[in-house]
Amino acid sequence: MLIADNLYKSFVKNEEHGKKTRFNAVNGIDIAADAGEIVGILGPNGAGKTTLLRMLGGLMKPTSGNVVITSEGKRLSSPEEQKKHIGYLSGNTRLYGRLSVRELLTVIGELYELPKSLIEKRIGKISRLLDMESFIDNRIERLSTGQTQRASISRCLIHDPEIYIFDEPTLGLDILSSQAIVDFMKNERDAGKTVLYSTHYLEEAEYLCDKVFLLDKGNVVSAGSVEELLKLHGAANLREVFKKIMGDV
Amino acid sequence: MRSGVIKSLYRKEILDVLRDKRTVLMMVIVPLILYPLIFVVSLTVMSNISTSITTAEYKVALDFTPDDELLELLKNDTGSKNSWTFAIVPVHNMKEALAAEEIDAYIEKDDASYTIHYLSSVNNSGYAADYLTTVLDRYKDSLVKRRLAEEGLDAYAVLTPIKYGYSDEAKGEETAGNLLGMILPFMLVVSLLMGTMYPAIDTTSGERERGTLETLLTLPISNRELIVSKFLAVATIGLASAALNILSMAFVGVYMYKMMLKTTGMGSSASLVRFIPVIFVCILCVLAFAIFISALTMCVTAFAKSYKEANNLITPMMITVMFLSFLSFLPNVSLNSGVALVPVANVCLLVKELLAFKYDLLIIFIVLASNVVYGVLAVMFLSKIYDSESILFGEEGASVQIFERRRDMKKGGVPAVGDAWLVALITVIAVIYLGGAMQLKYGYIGLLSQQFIIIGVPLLAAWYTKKDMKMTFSLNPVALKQLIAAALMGLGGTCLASLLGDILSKLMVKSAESLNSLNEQISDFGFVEAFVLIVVAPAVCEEFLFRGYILTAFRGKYRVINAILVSSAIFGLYHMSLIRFFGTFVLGVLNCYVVVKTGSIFPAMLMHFLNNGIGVIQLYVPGMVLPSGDSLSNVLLLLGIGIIGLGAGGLMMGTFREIGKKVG
Repeated sequence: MLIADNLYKSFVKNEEHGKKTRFNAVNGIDIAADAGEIVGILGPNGAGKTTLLRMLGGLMKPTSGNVVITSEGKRLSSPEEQKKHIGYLSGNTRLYGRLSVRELLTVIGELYELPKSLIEKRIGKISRLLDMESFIDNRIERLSTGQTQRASISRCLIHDPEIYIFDEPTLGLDILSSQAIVDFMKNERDAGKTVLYSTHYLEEAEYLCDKVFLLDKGNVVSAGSVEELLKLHGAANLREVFKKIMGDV
Repeated sequence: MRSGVIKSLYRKEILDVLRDKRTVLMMVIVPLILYPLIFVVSLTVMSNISTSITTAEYKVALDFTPDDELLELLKNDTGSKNSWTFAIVPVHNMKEALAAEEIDAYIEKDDASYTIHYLSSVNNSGYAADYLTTVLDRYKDSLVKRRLAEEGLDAYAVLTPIKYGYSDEAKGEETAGNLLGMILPFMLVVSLLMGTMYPAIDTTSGERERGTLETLLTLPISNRELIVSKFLAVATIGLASAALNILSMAFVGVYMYKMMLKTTGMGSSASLVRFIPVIFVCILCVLAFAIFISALTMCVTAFAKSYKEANNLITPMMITVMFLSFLSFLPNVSLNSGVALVPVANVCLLVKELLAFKYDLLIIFIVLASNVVYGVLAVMFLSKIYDSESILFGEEGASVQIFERRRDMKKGGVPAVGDAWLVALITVIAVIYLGGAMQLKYGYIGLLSQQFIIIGVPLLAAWYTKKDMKMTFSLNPVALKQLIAAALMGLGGTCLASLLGDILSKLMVKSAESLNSLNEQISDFGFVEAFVLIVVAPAVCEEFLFRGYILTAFRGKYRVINAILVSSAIFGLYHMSLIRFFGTFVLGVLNCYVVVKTGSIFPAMLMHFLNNGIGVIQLYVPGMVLPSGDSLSNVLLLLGIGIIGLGAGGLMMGTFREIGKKVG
């Protein structure tokens, strides 16, 4: 289970006349994501989605507030411990082009402190799952976009995490590749994992998410299941909900 | 730190870097192919040139008709292995012919005086003149011998009353070692620098630019593990590269040595066994230096946000390192325990001395240990301050703005950190060169002008980059109680710094002597002149630079404690004396603290004024204000005043509101 407890993140912004001011990119957000749930983080550009996910993934330290992760009823305290239970993927998490997929997965597995035999077993399983057997020993810089995306996902799977955090995972992908990711998230949810993901594609979120958080200017402006949101705002789909809320804000 | 994690990261770094064509090119191709190639090609070219010089026919003109003997000497080069000859060319105007390079030289004869005319700007003309000198020498010898014989004298006995010769007592290996000692240290330093530079850039800013640093941040590894493994990878690649370089140079060296044996017969007594301990210590030197230089390059490149910025940052470091390594080329620069602490220079000089078979175990230990300690400290410091988050997601914006066009500058704000470093560097260079020249020419006024440089450079930089002057130089009004607190702290700090100075002058005798001679120079001026130069001007000018421009710029970027420590270290270094460093550093920290607490530079100016004022009064009337720390009672007195002053002032300061943790 993953909980964002009153998270804040502030940055310095350069304004006109060279003045610097602080602003909150994430302004006191509370979020909870349970096991067996896909949670969507939606919002316009600059809403704070990426910053929020980076804090949840342990890539950024919150200015204040806490990220709470529990595994088997135990609360994990240190960011290092938390990271061991998270698979984080974004458009910015690139892979080492000069390594082969197998070498990359081996190094990443070692960094998660997995035993060697387990790493080999996991690589075999993942390469079958993501259909990577034909290119697993090729250097990543020589892979196609779709193959690279699969290699990226495989990186998040090597340690079999309980929580997935995906920042716009389908952005810029063709229909087949994005469908593969959508299917992957569904399968993991069905296997009892927690999936937290941000997207611009509202139809995709509507189809996929068990719970949705709508963000604007660092605040949660609406939250709930898709049905609850549609009912609350009297809308036919998420796009309408989005328009209504953003119009109100 | 977990060794397993470091091992995996290290392996990943090595694999990643070694698969980069550019690294392999730098590491393998350059040393193994380029060096021997350059050597062989240059040797061939040089031997061709020298053959063409010694086998050439030079055109000369004479303004007299030579006798048969001279003619013979000019036409045939006898008695040497060279085979140059002279062709006598009839020309109408010899001066013009020489200027037009139709002839290489000409000789004018006036009675028994011969003048060789040539052009030193033309190589062949120079050689022709040299060989003509040889010809005329032989002609002179021949004439002398003939005349002595005519007088019935034994020419040999008259001309050679004594005989002398040389006998080189240096052993072959010593001569070879001395020669090697001139070039090897420089080559070692440069090859290690080149070997570490590229992997350092690749594993830091390269990683950021390729987007893989963010991937690393998703993994459960600490900053320290990240930095240590990267450092180890850079050091390994640097060492491997240096090893290849040395191997390649060794081949060339052995080739040269063999050639030398062949041509001179020297080295027949060379005992290569004597080199074994030398080589062993040299390898230790290379290892220690690899640790140091890898850490240093990492410190520089870790903060660059792109390849380009990393390259820009590393260039001044390269120049400094090369400059220090040039010391090994200079004759009579010897390695003492002081120099043994100077990075780069210490390794170069040690290798040079080892090759001259001079061992001093203490010095060897200091050099090796200092390199390792500097390297380890740098890595520890780096892993402490390296913040992956700010490197990766930190606000963009040029860290150096001075090079941008003024009309593109936004008005207001405080200087960027890069600008602060640059201003500090420019000021120091200007003070040394410009100020030094002014001092030589104008004496007192020249010395005073150094203070104008110190205030002028930051003011000019702030004006050019359109910064907010009030914010940049902390020109805020100040309350009387703040001044009182500052004065108390200043007095306390001065007492403690004076005590520290007394202790240090006993430890560092040489440094203390140079300080005394500086004081004597100052006391040559009148009291008022010295007071303006030492008290008033620095209190204003130095505060503008160090607690104004530099501290404010650093506070805009770093945590306040780091900003204070780094700017005070620069302030200490600026005084260019080991003995004064510690005292000025402490005073710098106190002044910074006061500026941070009061938000104003004026209390710091007052503290600077008091400290230097007391110093100058002491100089003219010793013991008038502060007792010297010679006796125990005086030490206790100074310590007491110091602690009370600092304590009381600090307590008062503590009650003031801190002016923001960060500027802006």
